[in-house]
Amino acid sequence: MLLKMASRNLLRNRRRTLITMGAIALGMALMDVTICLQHGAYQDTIRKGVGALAGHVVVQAEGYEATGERDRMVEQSSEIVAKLQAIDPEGLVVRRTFLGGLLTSPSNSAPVAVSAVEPANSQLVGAMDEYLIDGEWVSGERDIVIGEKLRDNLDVEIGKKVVFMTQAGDEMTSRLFRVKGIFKTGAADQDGFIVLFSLKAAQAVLGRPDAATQVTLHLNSPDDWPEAVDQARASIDGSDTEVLSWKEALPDIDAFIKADRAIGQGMISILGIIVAMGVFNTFLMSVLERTREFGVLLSIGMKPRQLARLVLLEGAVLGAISILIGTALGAALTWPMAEYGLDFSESMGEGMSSGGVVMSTVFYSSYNWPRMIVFGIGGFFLTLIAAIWPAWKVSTMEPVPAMRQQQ
Amino acid sequence: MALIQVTDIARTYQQGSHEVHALRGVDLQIGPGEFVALMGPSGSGKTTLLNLIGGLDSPTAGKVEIEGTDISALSGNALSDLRRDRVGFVFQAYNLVPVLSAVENAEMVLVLRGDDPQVRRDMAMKTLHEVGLSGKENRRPAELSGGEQQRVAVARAITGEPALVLADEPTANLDSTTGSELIALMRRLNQDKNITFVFATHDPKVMEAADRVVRLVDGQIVSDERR
Repeated sequence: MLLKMASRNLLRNRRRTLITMGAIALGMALMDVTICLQHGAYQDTIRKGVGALAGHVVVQAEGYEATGERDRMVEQSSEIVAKLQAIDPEGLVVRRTFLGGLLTSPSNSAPVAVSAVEPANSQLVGAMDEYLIDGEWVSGERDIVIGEKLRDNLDVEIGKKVVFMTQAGDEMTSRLFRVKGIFKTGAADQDGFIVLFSLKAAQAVLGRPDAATQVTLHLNSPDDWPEAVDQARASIDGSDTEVLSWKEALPDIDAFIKADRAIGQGMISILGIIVAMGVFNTFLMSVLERTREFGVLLSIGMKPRQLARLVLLEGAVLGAISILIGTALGAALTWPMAEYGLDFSESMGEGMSSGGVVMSTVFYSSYNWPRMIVFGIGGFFLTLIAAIWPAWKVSTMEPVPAMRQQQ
Repeated sequence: MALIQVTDIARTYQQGSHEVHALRGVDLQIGPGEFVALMGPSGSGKTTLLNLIGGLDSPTAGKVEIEGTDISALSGNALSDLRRDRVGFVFQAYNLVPVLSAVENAEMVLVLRGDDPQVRRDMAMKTLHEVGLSGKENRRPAELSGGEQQRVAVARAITGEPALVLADEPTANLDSTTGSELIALMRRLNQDKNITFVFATHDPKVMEAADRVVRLVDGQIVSDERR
């Protein structure tokens, strides 16, 4: 009966109830849209970061992460490949070497950062190949892929020769390449600075035949990374190597996601508080309007705590319905953004670089149901909290003064 | 044993800087099955006395006993239980819960008591039939006339089978004919069910129906006439 009364009380002033429900539902929907958009962006960042710059498990030479010294390499990388493959036979093991140097064409020179990859494997984990606009991906040991801006700087085209020069130990060394492909990410620092060639070429340039900067394991089930990192630490026991998780290998990305999520949560909390204040105001008005009626209920034997429960039930019913509608609305609004993306390319350009990861400026949402459910439950309790003070106020009423109030 | 024993009660209100003595040293004893009218001009203390008997208010001095229990010594929850189980109230402005139907209003006390839903619905239907509202059980208060609403209020007051019904100006908002019908109804319930009725009223028709008229002036009983 109390539930029936609570539900019907909400329908007394339909317009007010609808406006309040609308505010809660809209707030909830906005929260869900934001959560899903953030989730999609984080997933994209992690996928691209892990794919292009690291792996779920990363094995590097001891001290490389701390010092960034390019000389620190895993010398017997083939052994590490076998050990990582044993952890996840269905996973993909990729070796990379990062180098710095100078790329020279007949007409110009430019400093470059090299990402030397195993061509086939690197394509499978998501590399620059998806940004190719001309030519082909690296296949031979003399192939090099460069960015569009660098192509313009060096004034070269597909098939033309370029020379890469770098330091190997105390010696300067160089190697001739032919431009095999041109990529365009839209991020100027990537398109003008990054070049890619094969790992074997890097090993030849450096004169270290089995060396790689990192050996990475890309798991078949990415969520299993913590266990895989533990297994790798147990099986790769050497003073000359270190095993990192993707979070440790990509600290900038992890920090960016944490900071962005914290900012998002702050905004969501402010939105929640604003909506809760509106709900509180509505409840207080609704309760004060019915002071006389509460006096009558007290006089016929209703206990103060039963009255408080009635008001809290109204909050619960209002909250539950609004949150369900809001979540459904949020999920519906997220769908086109998950399917077709949200295109910011006009204002942000075709691509952007964050922590060395090339990101698209078309953002795709991704449903994050656990978080949506947690925030839904949080929103429900926030509505209940907004009803607590009015409920307490009602529970302190005395029947005679309450009944003297004009309705 | 008296159903109601009021002993030397006083009730003083603070109004701004001065005190208002609503009741001063009232003694009153009412037995089971009586039909009593408290009469007197406005401000004479009728409603205050009714509120004190019903446990809605506490006396400044003296004590009120219902069936031998000193209600001023009861806790808030115990007072709520007393009002729910032993006392029914009928107010001038009907004071029904607008979102509930006639039968839901009538069974409210039984809901608060936690009675079985089917039992309480049967009792409420039976009571509505007794007050002449068969066929209107599912109407909301706004769909009923004033007289019908007051009958629902009477049904609500008696469904819990109380020993006592306190009625504060129950006919004041009704036309003469409807008022007379309501008084006749309550008199019948008084005689059939031996429920004690105590009215605070100006209505001469209530006085005519009552078998005892207690007159108050300035917070004191000036006459207590049995008929």
